[in-house]
Amino acid sequence: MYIRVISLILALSVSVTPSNSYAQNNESIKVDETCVKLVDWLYKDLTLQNLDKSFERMKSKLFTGMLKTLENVQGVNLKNHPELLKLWKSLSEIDPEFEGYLKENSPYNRYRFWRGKSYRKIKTYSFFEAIEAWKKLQDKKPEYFKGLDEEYKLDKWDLITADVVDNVSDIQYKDSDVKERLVRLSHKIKDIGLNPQKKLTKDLNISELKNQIDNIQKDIYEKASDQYVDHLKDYAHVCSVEDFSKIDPIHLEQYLCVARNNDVQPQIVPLLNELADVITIKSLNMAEKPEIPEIPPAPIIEPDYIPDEVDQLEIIEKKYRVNSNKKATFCKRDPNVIDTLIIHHTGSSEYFGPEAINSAHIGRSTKGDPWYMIGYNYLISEKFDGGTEENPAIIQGRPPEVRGAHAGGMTRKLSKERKKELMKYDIKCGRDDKFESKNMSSEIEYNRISGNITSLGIAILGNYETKYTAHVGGVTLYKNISGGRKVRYPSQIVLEKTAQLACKLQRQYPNIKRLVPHSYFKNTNCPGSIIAKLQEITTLANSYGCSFNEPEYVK
Amino acid sequence: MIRFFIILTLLSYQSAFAKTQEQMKSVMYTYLSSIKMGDKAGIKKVVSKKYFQQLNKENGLDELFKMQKRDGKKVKFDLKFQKYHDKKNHYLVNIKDKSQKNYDHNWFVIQKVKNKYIIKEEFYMD
Repeated sequence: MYIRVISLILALSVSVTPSNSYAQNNESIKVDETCVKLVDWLYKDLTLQNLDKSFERMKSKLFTGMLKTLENVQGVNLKNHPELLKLWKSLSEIDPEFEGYLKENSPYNRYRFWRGKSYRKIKTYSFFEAIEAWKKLQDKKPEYFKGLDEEYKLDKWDLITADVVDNVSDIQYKDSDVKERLVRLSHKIKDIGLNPQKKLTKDLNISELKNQIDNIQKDIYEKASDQYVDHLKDYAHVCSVEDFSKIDPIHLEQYLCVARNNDVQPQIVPLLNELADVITIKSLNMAEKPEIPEIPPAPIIEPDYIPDEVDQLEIIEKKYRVNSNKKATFCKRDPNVIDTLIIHHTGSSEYFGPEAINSAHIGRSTKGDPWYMIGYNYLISEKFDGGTEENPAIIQGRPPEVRGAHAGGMTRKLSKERKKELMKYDIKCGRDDKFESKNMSSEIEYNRISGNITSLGIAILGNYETKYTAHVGGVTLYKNISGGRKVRYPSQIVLEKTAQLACKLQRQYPNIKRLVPHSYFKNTNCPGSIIAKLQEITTLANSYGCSFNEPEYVK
Repeated sequence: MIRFFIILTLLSYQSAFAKTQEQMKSVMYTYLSSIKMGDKAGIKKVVSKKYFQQLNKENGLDELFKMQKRDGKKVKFDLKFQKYHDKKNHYLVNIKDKSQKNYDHNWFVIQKVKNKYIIKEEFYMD
């Protein structure tokens, strides 16, 4: 963090144009208003919070520089160095302790400088101006500061601190109470390192002052960096470091320059706090810390469509053995002709799975033509292909684009519109690579069409019909013994899966509008007791957002 | 020569088909006759253990026997069968009364075990 702040300071270092009042031109900067306000507040708050420490640093430097200049001008006629005299006088005016010190220790005392005509002629500076002039003198007359490292010379940090203190002084001097405070402040500073009653070389030690400056700087950096980072964190969603640098880099630097350290100067703190109050009123614009804007909720990127359980319904693909008989053909259709879902039960014992049914269907034939493969389009199983009673499996049978073999009957008479619509489509029959295309009109007989063309067959595996007796050759025998004596109904989860499948198919092929039992097309007991649950399946499918008509039972 | 072989093959196939059909008919005849006569042992001879258990579940066979007319008439019926493609030596067999026009949707699954045919289960095929 320390390194981060230092690097930030270096990055933000720009030309110094301090002023007594905090002003900036934000018009050309496109930064969030809150961010601008935050910088105002940071400037005020952190300057005041840390004023004493920064002031101490500046004064330590001033003393260090003063000692050096005194050393370097020993034996020199000070009349030839008016700038130095002017600075010394300014410092003396600003802080009486300087004057006392200089009177006692400096060589210009010999010239009766303080009482002479020359003294009165010298134009004094404000605190800020004195520091500024001092800083310029460092560049202009390096011989005065010979032997003083750069880091202990006055810098822009001190300029800004002086600016703040000067601003206070301007006010305070018109007010006796505040003036008194400033005097007291001077005494406190003197207690730290300045003793005007003693010889300069003995009482003020440059190396001690340097250590003091180092310690203060370190404290300031550490404290200010924490504060800086914390503030940035709070406002991170509206202000970035880049924003701060755009707004007012110099003020940021100042904020980093001033710090308070109660451990070093506890006795001065209350006093400076009072002064800080004055600064607040006078020069720092009453900036208030802006409220932390609410962090806007992360934008919810809603997908166009949220997949639901119907979309997520897994249909297990299966590769069936197909009839090798070349006579066994199938027909391809456009799935858009499908408008009906036919519900079957397989009526078989629990041992009959999709493969067994496929095998049996392959052995069947219609008008002498053997079947190509399993006749149903979908199977719902509680036992096969991973299906359980808790989670029945949906298994693909004949692909939906292939005409099924399950309805066993013709549709109702087609309406003119329906007939016209169907005639838009072709149907291709054959196998392997040989298919013959024909118009759907060739499949329409007496305004009816095979139910297999316009439907999909959903078979629920299992026997939902009861055992019954039949008479064959004068013998009464049981038929459908796997059905049992009692009526068996499909479980709720089977009904739900059937409804989900129906809804999924309707989403794929929107022309599907109705659910019918197998017995709608053919005189059969199929789908056994499931017929009593068709209404429930329809309602469930509609509850998933689909739109099925009321189930039809009779053609 | 080729024609001869083709004809021979067809004849042998037809012969095999007819033979199998006869065997199927024999099995079904035994099955139906045993029911008519109330002969559990006879039924056991032509059905698998599992199928027998299903038939006899809840004393189902005893009830079935009570329904029979012991008129001494010979059992006559029509039979059709097809090979069960998925399983070796398995056949799907359907029977109907001679007076009925259509076969039922229930098919018997018959398995050939060492020259003996056994009714293994029933299969609904609409």
